[in-house]
Amino acid sequence: MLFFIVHISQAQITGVVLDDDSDETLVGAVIRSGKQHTVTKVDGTFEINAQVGDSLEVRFLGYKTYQTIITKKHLRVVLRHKSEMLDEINVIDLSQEETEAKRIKSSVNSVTVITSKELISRAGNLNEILARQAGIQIRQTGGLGSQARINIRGLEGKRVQIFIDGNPLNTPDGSLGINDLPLQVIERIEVYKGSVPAWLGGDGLGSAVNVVIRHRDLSYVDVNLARQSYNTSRAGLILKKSFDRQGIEAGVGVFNTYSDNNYSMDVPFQEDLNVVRDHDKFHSLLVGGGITFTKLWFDEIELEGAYMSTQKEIQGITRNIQHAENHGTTLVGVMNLKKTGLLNNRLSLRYTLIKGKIDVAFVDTSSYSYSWDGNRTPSIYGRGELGNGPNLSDTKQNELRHRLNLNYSLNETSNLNFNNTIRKGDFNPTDDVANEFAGKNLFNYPGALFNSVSSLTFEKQNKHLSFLFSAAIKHYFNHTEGYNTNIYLQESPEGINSNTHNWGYNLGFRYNINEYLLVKAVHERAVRLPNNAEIFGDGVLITPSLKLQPEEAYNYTAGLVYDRIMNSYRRIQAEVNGFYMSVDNLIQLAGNGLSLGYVNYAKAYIIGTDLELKTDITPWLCSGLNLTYQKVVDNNQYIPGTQEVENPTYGLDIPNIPQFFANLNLELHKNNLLLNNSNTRFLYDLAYTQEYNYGFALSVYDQFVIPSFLTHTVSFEQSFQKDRYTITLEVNNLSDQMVINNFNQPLPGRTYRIKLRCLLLGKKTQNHQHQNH
Amino acid sequence: MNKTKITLIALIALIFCFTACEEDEPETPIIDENHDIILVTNINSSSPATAYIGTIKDLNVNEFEVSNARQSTQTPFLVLDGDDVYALPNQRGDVLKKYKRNNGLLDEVGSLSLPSGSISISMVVESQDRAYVSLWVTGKIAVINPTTMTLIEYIDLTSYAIGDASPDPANMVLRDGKLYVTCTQTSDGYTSAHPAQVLIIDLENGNSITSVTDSRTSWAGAIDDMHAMFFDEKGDLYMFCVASYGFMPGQKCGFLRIKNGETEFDPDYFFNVADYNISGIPGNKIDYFQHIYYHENGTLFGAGNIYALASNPPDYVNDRTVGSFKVDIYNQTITKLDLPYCNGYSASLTKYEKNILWGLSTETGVGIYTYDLSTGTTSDGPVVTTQGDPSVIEIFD
Repeated sequence: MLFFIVHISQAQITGVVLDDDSDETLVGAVIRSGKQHTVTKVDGTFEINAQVGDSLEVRFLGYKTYQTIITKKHLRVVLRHKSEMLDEINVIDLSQEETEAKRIKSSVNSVTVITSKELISRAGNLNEILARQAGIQIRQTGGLGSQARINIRGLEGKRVQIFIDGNPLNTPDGSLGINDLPLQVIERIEVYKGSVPAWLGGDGLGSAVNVVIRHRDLSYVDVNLARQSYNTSRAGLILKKSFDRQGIEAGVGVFNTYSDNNYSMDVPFQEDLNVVRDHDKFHSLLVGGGITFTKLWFDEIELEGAYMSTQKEIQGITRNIQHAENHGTTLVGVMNLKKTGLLNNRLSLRYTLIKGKIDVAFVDTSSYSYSWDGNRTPSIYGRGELGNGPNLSDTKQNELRHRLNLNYSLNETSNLNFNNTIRKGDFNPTDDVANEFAGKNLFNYPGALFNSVSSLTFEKQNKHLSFLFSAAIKHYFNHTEGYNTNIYLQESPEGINSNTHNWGYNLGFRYNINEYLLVKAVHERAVRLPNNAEIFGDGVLITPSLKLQPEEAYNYTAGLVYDRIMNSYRRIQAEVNGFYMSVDNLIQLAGNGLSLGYVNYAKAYIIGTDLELKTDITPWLCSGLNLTYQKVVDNNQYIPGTQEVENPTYGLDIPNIPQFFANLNLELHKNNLLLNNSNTRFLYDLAYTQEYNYGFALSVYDQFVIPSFLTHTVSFEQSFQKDRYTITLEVNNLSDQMVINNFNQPLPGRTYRIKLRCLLLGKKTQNHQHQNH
Repeated sequence: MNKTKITLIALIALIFCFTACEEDEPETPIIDENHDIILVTNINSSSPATAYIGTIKDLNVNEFEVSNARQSTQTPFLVLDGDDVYALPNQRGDVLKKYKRNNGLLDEVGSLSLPSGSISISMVVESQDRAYVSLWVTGKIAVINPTTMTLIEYIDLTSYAIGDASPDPANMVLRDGKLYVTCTQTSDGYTSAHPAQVLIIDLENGNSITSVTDSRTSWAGAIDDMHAMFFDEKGDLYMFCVASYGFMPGQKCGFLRIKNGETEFDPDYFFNVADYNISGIPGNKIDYFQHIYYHENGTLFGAGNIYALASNPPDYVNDRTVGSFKVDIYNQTITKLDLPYCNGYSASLTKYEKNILWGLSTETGVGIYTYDLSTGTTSDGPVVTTQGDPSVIEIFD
């Protein structure tokens, strides 16, 4: 970092200019203040006619120019070489979160950082914000609360890992998704594309989303109320009290979300039939609390607990479902420990222990079936609207997880990081109603898993910090236990288990070509472990697949990042990435005409590029644009399980994955437009996705096509009293475009939103700084 | 300011590009030849699996490509009536499509939405203005006008349901004004605990219905084969009963018969296929025929599932459990043919000229294999390779 130290002197302004590395004086450095100028003498000192309050500029060839306002009469200026100045802001200040985002983007990985500034006042949800980023699509099946998969660079679902503060989010049943997190609690979102830093732990095929939770070191009250179309409401309250003297922070939060999701849709399996979705209600309640101690031996001890309940009706699109629903509760306890300064200030430690108890239920016991015109008839299976009979399941799951992260500084330019995550879980399903219907026990079989993912990362920078090299090795162990059960078995099923060991690695570098431009590249071997559902099936028509191998990927990604502050208002950021991924053993459902099971089948390569531009056009107008092009291609030359029988889809694009999409946003902002200390923002977002198929494109008459869409979202935000009070008005999908982005499942049309926020902050704490990594 | 303008113009131009750029309509290929054979092949490697309906001229084409074929949901059934082709959506769609053969192409000439999730199994065309479509889930027969592709009425069979709301009407044949409908009587979709049942609907007498049952077997007909019920040259009605596909202990799959002029199952006839020992296959048993084709004089051909070839749990990549057999339903014999085992998404068959054509997806090839009726020999490999697993082969008159 560039810094200077000042001493009081008399008369003219005097000082000395030094080299940062050697501490040697610099001879011939040019000093300017107004119309005055001079150069440093042989001893590096200077004198200049100037006064306290005047501007001062110090220039020297090969060093970063420094500008400041004179506050003392004797100055000691230490200049750094230009190559070392990459994190410096010479004209305008970046906020702390922008600086952190810049730091993260200077890692070897291709990463998009979404700061809280981009999140906090928006009236939409997290999925919508993620979908506006380069290389990312959110594949939705319906409205709020419906299944949504994050697609990053062509890979999605279980292949993309979701983390909260570095801890894998993956709940055993997928009951908690990223969209369940209130925007209020998010500090920033890091989206790793094509490679994932090993310290994040977990498994996956090369992309991940890490949500960093906000920790304010002060007392505050944060209230959010939002309403939107389709009878949707969100409410959130955070209360936080900081006891500075005792080093204790305590907080609670309550978040409630409800939606009828009653938008109209064209039924995809019927011709010319439009209906209003009338069985798609969603409700979630999240209550959490925590206490943090910052003056004990650990720098930070954080104890948190959360309760979440969800209830989701199931909207049919093949049939008119009227009664089936899912509901569940989750209880989580978390302990976080952080300690720095160990072993002569070389070692830092972070430890997380999570205990979770999850209870999910699937209710489908209706004695009736319904047609789209509302007529009721007795259930086609006697009871139940979905599947092959009634269900009244209750699945209890216990989870115990830990994460240990040790960071050891070998010297000023290199360090080692060890990360280990362990997950121990069990699930105990019961469905006596379904068993009674089947006439035998199909469902009441417990299962368990234990997995451990360990990584060791070595990072080395050169003396000027312009070059960073990173190498990591990763080990995956997975143990699962269950029963070999399916509808064919007449006897009690045998207990079965499965163990796998796998290795992965990650190699990358980042090089700062100059002050504004850096290049980076990563090669990674990534592994995704099969989960319980894939190995053990569902006990009925999805049979166990005990020989499943982990999915694997060889990923290559390279990019250029440009970031330059041009003047007092303009900052230009640009990033372009290219990527190639070769993925194998991809797990998918297959069948024999009577039953289904998961198999290692697909083999593909993914090639693509994404481009992102952000710039301030005027002091009151800024814009962003990103473009993504990707191809996911079937790379199985022969049909698996055959003796070189040609695969008819070899070389074709794998269906249901968008190829080209783009986002554009414009933001007009003006402070004090309405009142003093007010801020006015107008935002416009455009999203475009090119048409693509959800079946292999083989015939000129192919009809399984997801149409292209172009949506416009406008948002108006007005805050008062330094952001204490904010009102946001938003219209999403202004032109009411038909939007489908997953098979043929229709999504909501035009949506109106209003959001009110009140944020009351206490005094800033000076003696403690939270660390997120 | 100039830069500002340029940037905005560029952005607006980009928006217009997105909205204005549209792909050209696909050109309709021109093919000038009549095709004899129509196929359904399935691309089972995609999710969801998709199917293609297309034609080939004859067996000399070597390859069936789907580049001009019609896309469908997985495993549709086909009904041919002259040049007209009706594609029943089966389990994964609701829209019944009508195509017309036209110089090697299929022109779409009509469509009709069936009740949602109704699962259409079978269709019988009575005349230009009357046809019947069995709706397995709904428990009704849809009476439609096949020329205008409009619904006329339903024949409601739900009062014959046992334990649920549908008797699960599946296969149909029509003769002398009587529509014979197999009812699978399942409550869970894959097993039936009830006797084999056929409903005889007298179309000329106010759709009066006669129900006949036989407890020697179960699940009359099949839900993945339109030809599981047929008449022989004597006018006797035969049907294959899959008996819960082998899932229910004690149930025996096999053939039942209703003699010409009778309205009861022949008590003296039941060909118990489940217990028949077949030489040349692992375990010597099959647990059901997936598809059958009645040839003549009591001879039919069938694709049978050999349970001993199935892994436990099933291996959906490597398992190929379906074998090819010649069956004498009069003398009650089954003989294995020298064709490779295939998966359950193919195993289609029909007769074309002097051959029985077998649509097989095997370990060594995917396409149409032949069994020569005159010599009893089989092809070494597919005589026509196909893009996708062939689930239906039919021949135009």
